[in-house]
This record gives sequence, structure tokens and C-alpha cells, in this order.
Amino acid sequence: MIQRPFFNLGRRPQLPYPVLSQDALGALKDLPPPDRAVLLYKGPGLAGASPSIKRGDGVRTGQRLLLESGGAAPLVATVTGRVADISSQRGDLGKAYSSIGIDATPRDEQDGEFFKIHKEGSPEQMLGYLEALPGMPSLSPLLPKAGPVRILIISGMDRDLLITSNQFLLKTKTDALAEGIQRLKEMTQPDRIIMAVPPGSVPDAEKTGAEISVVRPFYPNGNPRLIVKDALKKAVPMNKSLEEAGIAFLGVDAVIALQPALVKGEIPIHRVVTVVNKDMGAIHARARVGTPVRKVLEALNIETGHGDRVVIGGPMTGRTLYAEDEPVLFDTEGIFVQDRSQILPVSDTHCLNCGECVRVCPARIPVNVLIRFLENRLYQDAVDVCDLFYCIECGLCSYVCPARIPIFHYIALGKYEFAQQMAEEAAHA
Amino acid sequence: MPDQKLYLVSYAPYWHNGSSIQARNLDYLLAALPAVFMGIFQYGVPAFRVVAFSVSCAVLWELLLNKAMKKPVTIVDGNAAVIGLLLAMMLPATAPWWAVLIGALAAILVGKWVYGGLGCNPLNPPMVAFAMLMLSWKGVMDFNAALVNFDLGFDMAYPPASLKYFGASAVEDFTVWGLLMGRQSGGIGTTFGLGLIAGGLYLILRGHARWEIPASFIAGILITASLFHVSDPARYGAPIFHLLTGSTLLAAFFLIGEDSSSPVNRIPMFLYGALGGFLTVLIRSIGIYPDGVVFAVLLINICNPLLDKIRPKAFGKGAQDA
Repeated sequence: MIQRPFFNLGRRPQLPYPVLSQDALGALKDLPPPDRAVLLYKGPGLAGASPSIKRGDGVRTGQRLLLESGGAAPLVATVTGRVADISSQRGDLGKAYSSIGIDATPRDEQDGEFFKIHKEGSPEQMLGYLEALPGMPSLSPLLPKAGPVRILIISGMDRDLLITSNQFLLKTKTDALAEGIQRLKEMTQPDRIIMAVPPGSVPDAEKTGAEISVVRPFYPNGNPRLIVKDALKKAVPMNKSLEEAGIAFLGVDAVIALQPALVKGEIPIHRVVTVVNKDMGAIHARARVGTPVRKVLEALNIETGHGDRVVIGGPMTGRTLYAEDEPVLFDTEGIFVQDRSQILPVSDTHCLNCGECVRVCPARIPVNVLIRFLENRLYQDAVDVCDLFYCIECGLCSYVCPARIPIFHYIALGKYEFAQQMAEEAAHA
Repeated sequence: MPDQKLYLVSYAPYWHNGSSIQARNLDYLLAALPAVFMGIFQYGVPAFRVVAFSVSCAVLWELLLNKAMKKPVTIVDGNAAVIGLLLAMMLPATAPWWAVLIGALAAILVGKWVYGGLGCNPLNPPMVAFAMLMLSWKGVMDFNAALVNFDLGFDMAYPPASLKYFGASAVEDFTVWGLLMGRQSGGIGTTFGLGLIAGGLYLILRGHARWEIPASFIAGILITASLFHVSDPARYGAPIFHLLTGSTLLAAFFLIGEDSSSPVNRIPMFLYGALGGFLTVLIRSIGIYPDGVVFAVLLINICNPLLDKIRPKAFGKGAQDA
């Protein structure tokens, strides 16, 4: 935990991203494939509809699993085996998930469908297929319906502290990255390709031939919105998505995952995760997508105990797990284990109005007023007066709050509740 | 299920910088100590009595109110102690026990809890209490009358009062160094300028107080006082005199920057401080009170919500298409 310095002069906290140097990269640890892989699909794929797969069905690696009989909501398997379990789950803030457990066989059998699409299909078909990989970010900005991609931004920054998987990939898989970027360039024909990297990774990034935007390696500069602003010297309005602004934003990890698929027609099945132990020691491990977190921790001899926290992602924006059955997906940048002695409880104290959060907020939101609205469930006021939806979700407000109010949690809840209210009003209109 | 391993589930972030309300208030107490010790050193047991009684009363009133309102006990956060200490620092060493008792009640109840407690008060609690005492019992809070029996080896006339009623020549003997070292009469913790400045700098360096507010307050005092001084040097005191007498320094570093009643954005902080300095000198020079700090602070407290509306535009709001 990075503590406040004794004399901080009221400056905003300087939270440096860990920087990997070329000679201290450490080895990449290959994790064994799981006996039981779990694939998550974000969406209510199983709700109501009769799924076209059922327990006992055999699946091959790279096979498209249609979760609904209509053919919608596909999911691509990253293992070969037999379906053992299909269930619906609820995640944070009511998000719906479908989870499929597959008893994996040691030998992979490749499904041929994607290879055929790669040979004969259109780029849209290819990206549509790849997008169905579990946890793969949306690839639709790469081929937007309204006009061509104007700017492709590849981020070599990691989104959170402690996590270094993007930096690691950038340094160790530079050639694959360059090849992937080249393929994306041919496919999408953007006006500009920009790589946003920390200063230490500039030489590696230059090998890809993209324009370089150097990002100061301090949190929260790895946030996509801030990277875009840094690179283009202009912020994209928050009421517009990056996609609507003609920007396709991908992490290095996504490009590395796409590379074998785009070049050779092979479905990607692995990803590199940064696993941070209780002593802050970081290990880079290559796991089969679908490996439950339990298996990752077991393979790396990381012991967890009652009352600890296991976080998917980093310490500022990650998501805690209540069970170790959740799998590593393509968007799992890291796993962070926190000892219970390191956990500071939050409190329900009233806001002091000290203004620390206001001065630290990169989005310049009046957090001191916002939290008062949110605590009193005045969501409409929070949106109208305090720019609730301009929050870029970095978590710094909670990090600095001397009253230890879970401000970031209130903000997430506020956004959710406001959306619910709007949906209800629309339904009764 | 015994032996079951359960993880702690919560929302991000999972780190905290370690700051707390308690640590913050402890630092305030620590920063105020040099000035308080000087007061006790000068006035002896009577001053110690006022300080100890004021802090105890404030904490006990807080406890009593917590219990009466069936709220969680908040005395451990140290805020009541800070309020009690700051109130004592403004009082004369001879303040009678009942005045301290009532003052502490006014600060905790009228200054803080009627608005909902910590963080909700629109006015500075010790200042509210001091203003109430000052308006209710003029004789008790009049420093010349209160300290008439003390002779500490320097001019025991209350400097702002001397300036107000006898003009600039009456305060010619005060040296800057003497004022900084506390060679002036006044409240227990308001006279030792050097101690207050040191305490204030400590709070700023620790990041608890924002430098913008004291800096603009001091600038406001110096500029306004200079204008008055230049217009009539015989009647109006020198700017540095205004800065070092009365409770100006205590207000600058400990009172006007109180979290709940001061702005948090940068431009409002500058306006707020400068307005406070301007009003202080204005009240001292053409108002009826020798020390204008009390009402100046309460007035700018009232302006705070309005001032804090001046804020930067949110990130990506109304920006042009990238």
C-alpha cells in the first residue's frame, strides 16, 4: 500500500506505475491447463431461451457455442472437452453472466470454422467471431458502421497499479505486436496509429512503426480517456464514446491475443496475467483462458486465508472475488491477493468537506458535493449538478478520503441507480 | 460450516493512503500547542485552567449530545477537542468558568450539531461561540478589562483597541519582533505570532491546511491595510501591525481554513481568503469592533457555498470533438 507522505504539501498523490526494465523482466511461467475450464459470457444468454448446447455436449477448441437457439449470444470455447455445467450468475451491480463449465481433455482438437472464415470470410465476420472469445473487449470500433476508423490507439500502459502484463507483453512479444498492428492497419485503414507507452517502453514501441505518445507513468494516466487526451491533446466529450469519436482503443494484450488469429487463422487460447502476491511480488504467468483463479494460485503456490481479498485487476479499480471459481478471461490483466492485515475498513462517517477528493479528481468533479447527493439518493441532482457521468472511474477519491467514505462505490451505485430510474421512466412513458 | 474460507468482498479501491480524521485533528492539536504553551507560560495557571476546562467541556458536550441524539460516539475523532482548544485560544486568561462552559456548548451545539455534526457546519464553530460570548458579555471578553491585573513587562493595552481609540501613535512602541514573540496582550493563544506561523506552516506542509486560504487572507489584510495606512498614517495602523495583532494569525492558519466552512476549489479559496482579509481590516478601521476577525470570518463563511460554485469544467464536458 502506498501511504501518504508525511509532508505532502497538499499535492495530489504520486502513485507510480511499476516500471519493468529490460533486464529485470523475470521469466514467464507457463501454467498447466485446467481440468475444468470456466467460460463466462457477459449477458443473460441463458435467461429464458433454450440454449443450443447442453450438459454433456462435446466442444472443440475454437468452437462457437450458441447460447440461444436463435443463434445470438455466441461464445467461443478455449478448451476441448465436455460441457459439465451451465448456469446463470449475477455479478457486481446486477450484471448478468452466463457461465459454462467444461471438463477439459488434455489434447486440444481445433474447430475448423474460424480457419475457414479467416481464409474466405470478410474482416467483419472474422472480428465478430473473435469478439465472442470470453472477456474479449468489443472489436466493433475497429470496423465501425459509420465511416472508417480515424485513429487506432494501442495502449502499452496497464490500467491499474501493480499490474504489468501490457508492459511485459510489449517487451517480450514486440515482433508479434508489430505483426498484429500491421494486420489491423491493413484491415481497418486508419488515418493514424498511435502507441501510448510509459517512457521505459519507447524503444520497444518504436519497433512497431506506430506513432508514439509517451505517458507519464503515474496513476491514473493509464485510463483510456486520459491516454486519448494525452495522445490527441484534446479530450473526447464524455457524452460520446471513443468509438463515436472515430477512435478504436485496444490494449497491447488484445492485439497480442488477436495476432495469431489475424495472421494464421488460429484461435487464441492463452493470456498473460500479472499475479501479485501478498508481499507485492509480481509473477507473469501464461494461463489458458478459462483457468479458474484457484488453479492459478495453486500453481504459483500462493496461499490465501480467511478474510483475505482476491482481486481481479489492480488495487484501484479491480473487482473482488467471493469464490476462486471465476476464470481468467481475455480481459484479466492481473490477479492481486491482499492479506487481511492490509485491509482498511471503510466508514459511514459524514463527509468532512476537506476537499482532498476534489483536488485529486482527474475529471474535475465536485466530489464533495456529489457524495452528499449520492448519500441521500438524489441521483438526478448528482447527474445534473455534479456531473456524475463525467467520472472516469479511477478510484482516487476513495483512496485519499480521510473519512474513508467508499466514494467510488457510491459513484458506481449512483450510475447504476440512475440508469435503473431512467429505464423505469422510459417503460412507463 | 466451520473452517470455511471466506474472502472479503468490497468495491474498489483496495488501497487507502492511510489518512484519517483522527490523525488530521491530532495534527491540528499539535500545531496549536506552541501558541497555547506560550499563553500558559505568560499567564500561568489561569490560562491553563481556561484551556483545560474548555477542551474538557467541548468533549463532554459532544459526548452528551451524541448520547442525547442516539448517534455513534464521535469524541475519539478529536474534532471536539480541536474546537475546545481553538475556543480557549481566543479567550482571555481570566475568562470565568461559566463563560467557558457556555462557550463550549455554543461551539458544539450551535456551531456544529444543529447542522448535523462534523462536515455539515456552515460556520466555524469556535468562531460562532466566541461571537456569541463577545456579544452577550462584553465586559468579560474585553481584553483591556479582563487582563487589567496582569503585568507581564510589556504594554498591556490590547493593541487593536489602542489603535482604534488612540490612533497609530499609541501603538508605535510595538516592534514586529515583540509582536511575533507574543509581547502583546490578547487571547491565550493568539499573541505568539511565531508559534502560530510555525503551526500553520506545519499544517500546510502536512497537507491538512490549504496554503491558498491563509496566503490570500494575509495578502488581503496587507493590501487593504496598506491602502488605509497610506490614506491616513496617523489614524490607521501599519499593515504588518494588523497582521500580527488581535486574532489575525490564529484565524489565518487555524480558523478560516476549517474544512466544512471553507471552499475547496482554488479560485474560490483565493477569493474567500482575500475577502476575509479585506473585511477584517475594514471592520477594524471603520467598524465599531477593535478586532474585526470574528465577524469577518463568519461573513466569509456565509459566502463559502456561493464562492464554491466557481469551479472548473469537468473533464470532457463541452469539449470539441477530438
